[in-house]
Amino acid sequence: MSAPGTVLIVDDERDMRNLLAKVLAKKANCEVMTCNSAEEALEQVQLEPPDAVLTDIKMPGMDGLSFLQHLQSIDPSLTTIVMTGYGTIEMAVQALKEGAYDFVEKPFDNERILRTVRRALERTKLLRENVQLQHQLCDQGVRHGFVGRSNRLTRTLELLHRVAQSNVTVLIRGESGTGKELAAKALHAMSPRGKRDMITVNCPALPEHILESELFGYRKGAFTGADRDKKGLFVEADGSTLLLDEVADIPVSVQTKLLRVLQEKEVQPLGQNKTFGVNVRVIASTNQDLEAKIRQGQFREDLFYRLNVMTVTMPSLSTMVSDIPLLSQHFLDRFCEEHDRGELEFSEKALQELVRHHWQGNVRQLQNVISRAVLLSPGPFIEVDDLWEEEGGDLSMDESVPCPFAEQELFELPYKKAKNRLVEEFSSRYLSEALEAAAGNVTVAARRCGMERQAFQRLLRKFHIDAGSFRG
Amino acid sequence: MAEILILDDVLDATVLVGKILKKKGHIPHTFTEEDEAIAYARSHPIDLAILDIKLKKMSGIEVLAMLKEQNANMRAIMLTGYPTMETAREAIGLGADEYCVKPIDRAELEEKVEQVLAL
Repeated sequence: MSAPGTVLIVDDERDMRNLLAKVLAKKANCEVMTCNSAEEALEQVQLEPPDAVLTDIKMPGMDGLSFLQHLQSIDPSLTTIVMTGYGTIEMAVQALKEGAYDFVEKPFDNERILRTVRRALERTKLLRENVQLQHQLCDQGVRHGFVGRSNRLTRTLELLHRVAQSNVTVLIRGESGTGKELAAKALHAMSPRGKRDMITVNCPALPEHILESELFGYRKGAFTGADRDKKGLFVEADGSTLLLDEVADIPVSVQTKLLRVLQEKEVQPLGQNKTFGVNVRVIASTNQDLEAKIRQGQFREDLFYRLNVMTVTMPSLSTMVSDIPLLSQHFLDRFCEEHDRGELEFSEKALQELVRHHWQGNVRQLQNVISRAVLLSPGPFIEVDDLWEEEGGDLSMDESVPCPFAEQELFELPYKKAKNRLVEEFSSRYLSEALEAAAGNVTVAARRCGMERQAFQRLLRKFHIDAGSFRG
Repeated sequence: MAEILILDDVLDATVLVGKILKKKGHIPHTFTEEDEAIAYARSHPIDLAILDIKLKKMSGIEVLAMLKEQNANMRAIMLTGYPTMETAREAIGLGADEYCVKPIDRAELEEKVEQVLAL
């Protein structure tokens, strides 16, 4: 068993030092260092940091309390036990308030001191582990490109971190633009396979038969044009990670072969009788409703369960609204540098607008909007008007307008009535969206719609829309 | 001006401490029964509790634990005639800000109270 830790004993009485050193080394199995003064001990701590300190309080030179304060400022995770003689309760209280973990009275029995030292070592270990994990989390958050402090994102990152170490297949789900590929890269980088390159296959980009030969390889002569052996991406990714991007779009025939690889950990290239064992970690990502695809018979259920060993769902931007200011600032800094735009800033209104907006395209859309605004804004402030394109409004609006003809009943109405109704629906929606985007400011909304303010207001009255309800 | 709860099994002690603090402009609430003090703190905001350790039914340490559980931001000073390492350790561990030994002179009490309230 390795030593549970190193204990530094500081006491000006030599007999006490030796006794303690003996007890701790023998009974608690600790590594022991000793010093006869606080000054010496401070040097020792800088040189070779111990896991716990056991110090007398009354010493010539620097006393135990000042020593404690120094220790706290050097390393707050270091656990200190203070030893006191009789009748110094006040000092003991002082020591505890200064951050000593515990104090023991002299003379003490060995069991008591052993118990205390063991607990102290345990505490240091836990504190240091905690600090280390937090650092890792922070580093990784920054390194792998995730920005944000919201609970939702932090939990997702923690999950990624935990899953990364193992070899299990991970299914990354999430709306478009939430960072699924980023998550896959993070998973790979944090895993023991991180030193090798991750292989990414964009599934919908490749036609069926090409996808198959790309993934599994083929043998020379397997089909016309196969004039040499091809290894296939699974073999290529041996010892590394293979990301199946947009896995929902894989044709059913290839799904069958994929299932086999996942089950048997073997690939069989086209036209080859032999199979090859491969050691590949598979990560799959999708923004589609796989369960629905299974019901429609477009996705194999057994493959789904193979992929879905561990699911990580990337948070949509609407679940981490509190991170929008941070993300916005991050993108602003980045694009200012990229586009060489010096120092731009968001106006307060623009920032509010960014926070309030419903980002259907998630972080990616936010990123694109800011990139564009940085390019086009006259500066020094990015205003609300710089965020959206003049024509057509922003993307989310286009997507969210439902096709009006979906309503069958429209066709049962006389032409004029149907048209009026449609126009009315369209208008009130259009005007509401415009007001929404302008935070209820009629002038801004009108300008964006290419209208005079008075005309805009007339329309608001006609369709009974209250601009005030969009403010604040 | 702070709301200060004073708990001691000796009535005279609570009255004395209460008087001193009142002169300093604070609002003292004095108790000799533990349960009454705890019940009062449950329904009233308390900035500081000054607790004796040897009480009638419970120990001041137990009372401290309960008060801190109700309101972690409450400040606390332990005031005891029987100081021990054990209770000092426990009290500080439970979040007491001071551990004072009776008899305490007026100036010291005033000083400690101001210090703790300033935290």
